[in-house]
Amino acid sequence: MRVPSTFGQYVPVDSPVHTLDARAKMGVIAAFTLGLFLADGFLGLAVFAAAVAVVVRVSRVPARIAFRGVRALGLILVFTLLAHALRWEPATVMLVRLGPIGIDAEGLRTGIFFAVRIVLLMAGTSLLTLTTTPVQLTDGLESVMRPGAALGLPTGEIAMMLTIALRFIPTTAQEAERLIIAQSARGARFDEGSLVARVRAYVPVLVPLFVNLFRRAEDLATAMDARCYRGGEGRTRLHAAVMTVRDWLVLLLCGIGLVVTGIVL
Amino acid sequence: MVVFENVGFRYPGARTAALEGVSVSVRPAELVALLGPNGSGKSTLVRLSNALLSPTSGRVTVDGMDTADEDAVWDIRERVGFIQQNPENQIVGTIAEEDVAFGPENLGVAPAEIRVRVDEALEAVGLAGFQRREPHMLSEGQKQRLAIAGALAMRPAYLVADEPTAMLDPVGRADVLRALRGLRHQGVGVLHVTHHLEDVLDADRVLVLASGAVAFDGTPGELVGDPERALGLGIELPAEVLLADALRRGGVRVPAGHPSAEEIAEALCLS
Amino acid sequence: MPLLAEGLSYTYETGRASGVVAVRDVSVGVDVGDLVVIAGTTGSGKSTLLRLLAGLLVPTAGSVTVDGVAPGARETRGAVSIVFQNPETQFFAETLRADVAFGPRNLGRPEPEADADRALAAVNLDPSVYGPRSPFGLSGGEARRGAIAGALAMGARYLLLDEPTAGLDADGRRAVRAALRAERARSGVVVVTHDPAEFLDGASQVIALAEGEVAFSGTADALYDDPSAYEGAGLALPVVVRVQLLARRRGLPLARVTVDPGLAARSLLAARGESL
Repeated sequence: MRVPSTFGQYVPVDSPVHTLDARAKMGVIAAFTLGLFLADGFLGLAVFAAAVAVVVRVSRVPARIAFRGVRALGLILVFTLLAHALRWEPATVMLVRLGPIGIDAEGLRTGIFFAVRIVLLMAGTSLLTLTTTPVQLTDGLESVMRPGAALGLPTGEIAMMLTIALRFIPTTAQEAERLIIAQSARGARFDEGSLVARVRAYVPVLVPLFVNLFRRAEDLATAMDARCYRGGEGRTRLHAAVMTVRDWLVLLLCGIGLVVTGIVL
Repeated sequence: MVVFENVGFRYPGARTAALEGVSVSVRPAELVALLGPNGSGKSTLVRLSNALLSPTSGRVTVDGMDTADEDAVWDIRERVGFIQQNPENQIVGTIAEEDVAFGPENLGVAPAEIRVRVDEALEAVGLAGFQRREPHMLSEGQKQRLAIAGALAMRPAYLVADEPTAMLDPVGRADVLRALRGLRHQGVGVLHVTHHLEDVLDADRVLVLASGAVAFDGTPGELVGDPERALGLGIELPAEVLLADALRRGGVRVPAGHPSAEEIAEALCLS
Repeated sequence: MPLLAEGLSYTYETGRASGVVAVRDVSVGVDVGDLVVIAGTTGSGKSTLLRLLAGLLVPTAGSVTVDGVAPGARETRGAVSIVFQNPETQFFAETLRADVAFGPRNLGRPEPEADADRALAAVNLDPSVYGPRSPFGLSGGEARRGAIAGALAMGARYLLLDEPTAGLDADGRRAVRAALRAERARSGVVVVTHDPAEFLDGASQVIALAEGEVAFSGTADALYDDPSAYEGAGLALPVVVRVQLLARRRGLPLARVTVDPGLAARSLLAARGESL
């Protein structure tokens, strides 16, 4: 069966980026995003693009996979570009003209700027999920949320829920694909008729999908019980996440570097 | 030892008892097979053995600890590993090593020790090198062995396997059976629930449940040697066992037990 | 004219995840009344082949025709039905009758419910008893047969099934086999399985696949005459069959070979009596 290529799915290779603490990565991504939005020139974008390229290289994630998410953005990019570039009369400098509509040079420049920024944002942030396992991510989140635990937030449980949700995304996607094929084989059409008809067409897929999901949930709860899961308290971790000197250095240097780049360029 | 003493169980609201007057035991390093038709109470018995359920009458103890004692629940579950029929649904982790680590993490084992246990457990089920593999990239048989590794990493004294091969192809089934046999040699007592007598011909004992009561408690040899009795218990014998039996009754001296094709053919052509 | 596949090949796009198997140059013909057994280990390409035959995948080379026309063409809609593994996990309707009627209704048949009842009867589920019942409360064997009825109700002349007896107990398997035997009066049946033992008696053709290619193709008798290619595909003959082949090689005059232990014992004892 075809495994759906979920965008941003973890790529299990060894690299310095993979071994970096999830919290350090989250911090760097935050700085990257902030810097990207502060930058207001193409030179700034070029520096950020170079940074993404270097990290992709170091992470050993195949470029094809690293930029796969960008393809999904196609429509948004075109829209961004057009929204800025297309101008009605009367406008400043028109490059091309078609009746009352034309492409404006200044608008085109802005459009390209925003589009490139979106591409970089996408590529940069997806590097986080490409090089960090969902469990490391949720552990990192839990640790970042820790102040919330003092206020009575069940941070351990929230992290576990996230982990399980992530764990079952590929399974559920496979299951949905299987059901769509199976019901199509019984003559179901998912692409005909009104919107209501199309939504209704998915009932024979969604009902068994949920029935099977509930069964899974029950089995999983039993499995977790049998393996002594009793909430976050007292749990240890295989990979006890400790921020090493390297993690702090990367976080501070990259973080400051990215934000300053954004401000200056 | 896991001991059932005159155990009864009735689901809330059910008119009839799921189990009644069941007395059985599983010792360390012993392989006990549990057979019986659907609805005979196998799954209930399994869930009573690790305190997922507690008996409505009688007593279940694990190395002396009563499963009805709420303070002992986690110690009992640490001792009695449990795997289910559907390999997919019991995997918690998003990569293999994280899943195997789940049990020890819950027990509060130190990280360095978890690392050792995870690698040992994966090795024991023949999945060394699969540490970083994602569950959906594993075959069903590999997933089931991953589940066994997850139970093993808790260092259990017993493992209860509820129809672990029911959803597997012949290759996956053979691999899982091999992994379960390996446990027995490590001193783990195994309770193996199955529909297939072929899976458990080397078991120390076979228990057959029928409508919530133990209908047979003996060796696999006794069942294989008495096809009529097996049939009466609703146990499907391997076709070659039935053939051997029919030939024996026709006067051919086929060796007892579970003979190979060559042995049966040999017996046919002698005389 | 039969369901005919000639020189079928299928290659997946590169870069796809593992677990997908290509098929190379496979030809199959299925007529009404046939039982074609396609055997292979996991990864042999047997499920891919079944999807190609059902028209759910488009072959990269070769062709499939249903009674002379391409599958999916108007005239052949519903002519080929496929039953996937564990089809009972596809139930969605409130009653079994409504679920089984889903296919014929999609095809625009005038009386989908009547089609459903006929299909239920064909798999030995009394429509007046099982029709109104919830499909979610059935036993394993009943649910499997109900799901197979969902394919039959479409009026298929060719019925393709992926591991139709997997996961069922002895009674459930027997009931499914009986339903398929009865179905052969009306249609051609293709069964894909990793354990073909229970379908060898009565199979009109056995095909063994290995790594997407045909390793063996012929009748069960031809298979018994020379099982080497079949065994080379990672498949094993049932022990009962091997006993008969060994006995034959040692000179016992056996007319036919069967997987049924009772029948096998009878003919072995008779042959032994003759040769003594």
